Amino acid sequence: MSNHKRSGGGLNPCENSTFFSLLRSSRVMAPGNYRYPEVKSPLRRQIHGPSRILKSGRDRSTRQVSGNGFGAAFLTRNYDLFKRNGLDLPLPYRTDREVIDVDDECRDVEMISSDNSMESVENVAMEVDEKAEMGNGFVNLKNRSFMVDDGSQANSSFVLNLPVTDVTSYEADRKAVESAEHRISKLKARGYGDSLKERGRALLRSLFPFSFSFWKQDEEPVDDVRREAFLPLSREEETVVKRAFSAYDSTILVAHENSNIDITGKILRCLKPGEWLNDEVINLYMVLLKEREAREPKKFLKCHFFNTFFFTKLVNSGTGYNYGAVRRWTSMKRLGYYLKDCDKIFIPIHMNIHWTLAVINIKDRKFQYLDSFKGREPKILDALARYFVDEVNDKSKVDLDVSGWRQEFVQDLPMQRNGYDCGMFMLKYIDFYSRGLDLCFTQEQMPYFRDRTAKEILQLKAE
Amino acid sequence: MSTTTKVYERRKVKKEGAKRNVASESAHVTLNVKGQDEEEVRVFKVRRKTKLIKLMQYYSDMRGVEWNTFRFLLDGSRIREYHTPDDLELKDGDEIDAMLYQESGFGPSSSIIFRV
Repeated sequence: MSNHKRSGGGLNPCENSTFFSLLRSSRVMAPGNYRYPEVKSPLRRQIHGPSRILKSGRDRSTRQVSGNGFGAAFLTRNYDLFKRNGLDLPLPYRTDREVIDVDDECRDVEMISSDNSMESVENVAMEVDEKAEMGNGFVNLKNRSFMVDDGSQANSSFVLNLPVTDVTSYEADRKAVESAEHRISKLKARGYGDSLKERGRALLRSLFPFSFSFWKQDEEPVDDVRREAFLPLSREEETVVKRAFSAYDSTILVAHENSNIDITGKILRCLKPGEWLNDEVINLYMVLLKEREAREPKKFLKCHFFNTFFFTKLVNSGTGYNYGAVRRWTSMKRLGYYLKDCDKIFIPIHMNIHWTLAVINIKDRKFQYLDSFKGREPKILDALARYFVDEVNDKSKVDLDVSGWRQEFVQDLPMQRNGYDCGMFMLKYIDFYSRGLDLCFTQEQMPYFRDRTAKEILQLKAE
Repeated sequence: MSTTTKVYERRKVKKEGAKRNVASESAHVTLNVKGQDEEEVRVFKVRRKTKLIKLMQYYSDMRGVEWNTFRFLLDGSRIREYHTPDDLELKDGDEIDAMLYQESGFGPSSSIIFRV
């Protein structure tokens, strides 16, 4: 998992206490790498924090805890519980001061040596104790101050001072919260948050699947654009698609005005798995893609999508190449833009029993041919090159030299493994290219893509 | 721009024709229909207000197929049954393409020979 960074607001203590209470209430099994924290720091064994003077006048023995970068210290009677269950979560998750019952027998004063860098944090934390004095370097039991000992030798260990004090007043509590936040921010600045969070999150996730949403707010989209291309269908959408698939042949499900295409039940059924794609569906999808780009021009490349009849018309079996036959297809009046101003031009090619795609990639100055069976047809690209020159000449009166452009038969593309998905592959090549993505899908996702295309057609909106 | 003025002119002609009470030629439009896989162009004369389904049916009958076998295109855009020449601003000599439907599968069209 990648590192997640939270944008502001650190972990607030309430979150942690919830987390904490959850943990406390369950017997947590240790992740495999729990180790009892080793005693590493060379602190003197004495109380390094405020403690109550017992009747007996003796100090409680301290236990020094420090691990490899983390240590778990709990001041409550649940300490043993946690020790047993091995929750080696680091301190930031435990931020609020524990209310110590003075008379509790197993109260321990935990002392952990601190980093040099933690000094400033400690200073802040000291505010908690109202009676605490800022002191560096010595224990003053009477004054209930606690010290910061920065003699830590361990490289990776970080520790915090834990005062043992009965903090019940609101004021102290508020200050506890503040200091906790300060501390957290300091820790986060040193990068402790990420791995800790992850471990905690993984732990929590394994315990409580329903609380996953609780953590979800942390997740940042790794790749927003790519994710959009794979968004799953919602329940309602699925039922809509299913119902549409079982419509009568002649029922008109949707009628698209701009393109004058009606989609009947029969036509939509070509999107069922195993069926061959129909030209109505493909042509309508082309128009929807164009509309999508018009809706959000910043998100998509500037593209032109020809319909499936274009290439047939251009290269007629009878007369061969015929620019005049398609000259008026791309007039300014019809399109509103010039073809040469686009980034990519997509031409679906229907070859008897196979759909392939040709792309005039103006942005990268090349002609591409995509075939989900990895066939090669140089003649197609030659025809397109000739068309493009003629087109630019006709509309903009510019003599474009495409001899420097190369012809690319794209090999690095997902291939189809059956005999019926070529149309869907072609549509997806177009979709992903117009988003500016590489072709990061496979044959396995084809059923999903079919459903998604059906959904987009039914709602007359490509996403 | 020029097309709209042309339409205007056409209408003017029509009116004049009506005034003179002549069986106006301008009530009809002469359209060429070119099939996808045939060389010749068939010429049809259609009234301006007639729905083009008549044209489509007639053409398909001539070719011997069902009327919705072909997709009729005008400069790339589909023509629907309910369109009339006036809707599409058709002029004399406009060419309509009659394309065979394409299914990646049983494409009824013969293989396309590329002669570039």
